[in-house]
Amino acid sequence: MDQVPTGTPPLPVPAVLGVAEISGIISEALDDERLQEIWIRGEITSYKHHHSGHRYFSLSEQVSGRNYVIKCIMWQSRAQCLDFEPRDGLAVIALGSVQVYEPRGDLGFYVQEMLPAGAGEKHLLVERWKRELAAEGLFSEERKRPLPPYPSLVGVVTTRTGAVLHDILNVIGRRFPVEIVLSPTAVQGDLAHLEIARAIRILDGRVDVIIVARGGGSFDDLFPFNHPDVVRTIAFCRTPVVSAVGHEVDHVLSDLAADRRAPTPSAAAELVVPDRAELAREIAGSLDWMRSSLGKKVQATALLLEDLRLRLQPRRARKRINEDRELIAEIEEDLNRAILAKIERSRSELERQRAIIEGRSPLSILSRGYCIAERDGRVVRSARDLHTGDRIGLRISGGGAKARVEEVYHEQEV
Amino acid sequence: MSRKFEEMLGELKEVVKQMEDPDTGLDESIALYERGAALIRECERKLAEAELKVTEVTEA
Repeated sequence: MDQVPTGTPPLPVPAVLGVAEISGIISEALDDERLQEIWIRGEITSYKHHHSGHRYFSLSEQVSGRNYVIKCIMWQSRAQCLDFEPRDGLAVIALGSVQVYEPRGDLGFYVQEMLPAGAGEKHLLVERWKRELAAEGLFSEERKRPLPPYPSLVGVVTTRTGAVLHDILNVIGRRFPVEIVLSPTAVQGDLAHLEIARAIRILDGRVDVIIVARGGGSFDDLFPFNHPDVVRTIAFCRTPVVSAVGHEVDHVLSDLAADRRAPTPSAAAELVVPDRAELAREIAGSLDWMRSSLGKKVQATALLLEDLRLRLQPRRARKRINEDRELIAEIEEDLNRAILAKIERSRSELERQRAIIEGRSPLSILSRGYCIAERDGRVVRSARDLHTGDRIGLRISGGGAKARVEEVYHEQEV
Repeated sequence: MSRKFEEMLGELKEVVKQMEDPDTGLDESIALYERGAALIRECERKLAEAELKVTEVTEA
């Protein structure tokens, strides 16, 4: 067993870290969601607009007489998007992350976006609504419905007077005039969202498609179109909705909830109706197509007919008939030959049979010089049947004779 | 521009498709052509007759 030294234990050697190492630890410690991508509200102090374009300042807040300050850096690339000029004393909200800039050891709030406090709060509200409404699924692609290709009733939700309605009527009138149902509403003001939502609901189910439109304006002007009342009304509309609010660059939540977003009211009008002239051209094109198709078919049928006619020509038919005749003649000849041969065979067979039959005939002996005696129609077979004085008939080759028996003699014991 | 226009256009497309079919006979093709031409006349009439009309609603 080792000897354990007694007395004071040796002092631990303090760990010495490199600067890089400690910077790493700090960075790691700051990698906390409470410090990343957060909004901070405060008052700008010590604002410096560096000639490089970077902005260096502090955000400060006094609580119970105590001053709290955080150093802020906004790089030129971010700062160029600012739509106001920050200055000391201005209340703002800023989006950014707490980080350490390792090359300089500057710990601070690196700002991505910054807005004056009043408008800024509204922006934040819109951001919150956007998250909430998205979570409800109101912006999902599956909800989007196709617009009717040939609407006969187009609903428009906008102000009764003004360029927006004028533009829409103009474009629709030019492209394809249809019946337009205006549901007038205020488009800005504290209660505009209620009016807009109501105006949309009035049209829902009454028309084939609805355009919700507003001309360009400031973020505040367009604010009602971010309101959940309007967004939900659009999302739950049975009739397809096209949202056309502000200019190309403006984005509002109603755009996200609508079935289609149009960059401008005129563009919305183009989206909802087809171009009549183009349609007329297409229709005329299909007439041309049908004509040429029918022409081709007629031509093809005529060709087929011509072919059949040629095949039916009399010359060809005669040749065919002659061929048939020849064939029939050949068959006839074969048949004749066969019949003659058969007749010939029958004849020789008959001859043979007759020879046989004749060979057996009693008369055949006459030709060999014999004579047959008959008495009373019966052949005299024996001399005993004859008596002197009998009248008999004689059959001889070539005829016969009648005779009287003069004498009868008998062969003895033959 | 009514629903009917859309239906007529749909039928016209069907007519054209059938005419494209090589199995469609001549008699049938002629009948299809006649039907198609009538549809086209009707469509063109509808297109020509379309008029902009604006009404206003305020009550639900």
